[in-house]
Amino acid sequence: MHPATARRRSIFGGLLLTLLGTYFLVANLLPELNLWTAFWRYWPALLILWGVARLVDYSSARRVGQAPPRTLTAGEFVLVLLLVGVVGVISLVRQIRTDPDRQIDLVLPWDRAFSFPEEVATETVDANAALDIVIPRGNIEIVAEETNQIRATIAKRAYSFSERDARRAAEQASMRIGKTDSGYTLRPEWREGRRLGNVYFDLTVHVPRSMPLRIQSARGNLRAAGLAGRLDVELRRGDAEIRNAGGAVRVKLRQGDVRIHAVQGDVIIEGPGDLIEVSDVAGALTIEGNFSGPIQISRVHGETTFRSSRTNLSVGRIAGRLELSGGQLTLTDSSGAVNLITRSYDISMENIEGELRIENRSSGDIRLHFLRPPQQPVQVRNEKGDIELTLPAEAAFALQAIAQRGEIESDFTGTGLEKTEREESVELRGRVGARGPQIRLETTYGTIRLRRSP
Amino acid sequence: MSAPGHPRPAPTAPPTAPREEGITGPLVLITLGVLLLGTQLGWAYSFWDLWPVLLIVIGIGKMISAIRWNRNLSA
Repeated sequence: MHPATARRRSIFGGLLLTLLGTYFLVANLLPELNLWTAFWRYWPALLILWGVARLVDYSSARRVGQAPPRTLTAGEFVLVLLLVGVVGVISLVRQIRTDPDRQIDLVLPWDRAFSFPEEVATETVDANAALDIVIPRGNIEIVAEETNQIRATIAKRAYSFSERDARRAAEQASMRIGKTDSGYTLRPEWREGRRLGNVYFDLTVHVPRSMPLRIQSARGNLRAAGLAGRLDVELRRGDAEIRNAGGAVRVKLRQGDVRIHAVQGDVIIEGPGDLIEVSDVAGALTIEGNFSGPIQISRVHGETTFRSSRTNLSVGRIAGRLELSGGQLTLTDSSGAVNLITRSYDISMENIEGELRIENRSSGDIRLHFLRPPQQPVQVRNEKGDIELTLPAEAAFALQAIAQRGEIESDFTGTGLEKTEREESVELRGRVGARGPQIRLETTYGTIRLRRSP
Repeated sequence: MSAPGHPRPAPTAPPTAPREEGITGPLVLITLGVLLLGTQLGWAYSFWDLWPVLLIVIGIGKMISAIRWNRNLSA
């Protein structure tokens, strides 16, 4: 550098940074002063301060006859960008963490979980009034008991860098049992002012067995066992596990798994969601929405209905199981009518009693195995793929099977069935035995196999 | 870089090096280390509270370097 161009350096940049750091430090350590809010309102004043500082630099350099400092050196420019970035990211993190309605959870890699237990006063209640449990986040466990009291133990869980932050976040809300016109509520009561941090309310709630429950949580899992009253659950994201329920059960979710076992009433599951496991339902089962699966259902006494964007299925009664997993749909041991409209599934059904209608609107193979002679009409239409129908030797039926651009193989030939081969299709038609239901099979680009089981 | 043993400029020479930012870097590293270590050890105040200390350290470092530079310039 040449002496003539040697410039003075300003101390104001450093001074400003020091003052700003002190301001932020006080803002962090004494949050009740709300200095952050003030900063975001008045930050342009920094530019004015900067300009004034440069004027001072300029005039003092002139006084001693030296070149004034540059307004903004490359290093300072980078520093300013860095500062804006760091302060911006940090405030964004705080903003996201303090927004009670946010959808995303911000648990940073270096965060740790801290748990703070809380006592909730036991409340003696009318056991037939309903209880609403509403929490923003956290796991809920419901224990049904022969009692007339609501008893809750709470652990408030907070994720943070330090125990102090976590405690500060956890101390903002306490769970309270309140009384409403229709019953009771158990929900957090927030202290006045800003909400800080991630707070999860992990609850174990002991309730009277007959008490109807409504549960809402944006995030977290639910476990309930032994309830006799109605149970209504809404989880935005989380898994539900419900066992031994005496009343109707409804679970609505947007993401998560549902496991339901032994319910006396009807069960309704509304998706979208992931896995479903349902067993031993005395009432009807309704599943609506898209589930990524697998879906495993066994022993449902009432009608099972499943409606998704791909599948529309109803089964009168499932004594065995229904499973949808990957591209495979399996149904065993059912009675009552089965109605299935779907696409792209390989379908396998065994021991079906009752009317059967299947329509597979895209490619897939269909395999049906009757252990007893069918008594009700069977109608199968496959867009593309094979159909294999296995019937007992003594089965009696009227058959119409058409394979477009395909083939038909039959173990029952020569017993009143007539095969007609046309240019682009083959048809097998006729009657086996004196009576029996109508069986109609139809496919394109596939083989229809009619098997006789030994 | 003001490595030890760097030749001091002659009094008449223009004040080029030493660049005094040399002390800011290590100070920032030390502060960062202390803050993060404290957080790991579960201090009452975490890095999220104390990060502005870094700004203060950088600011003081810059002030020191500016003062020394200007003193060299006047010498």
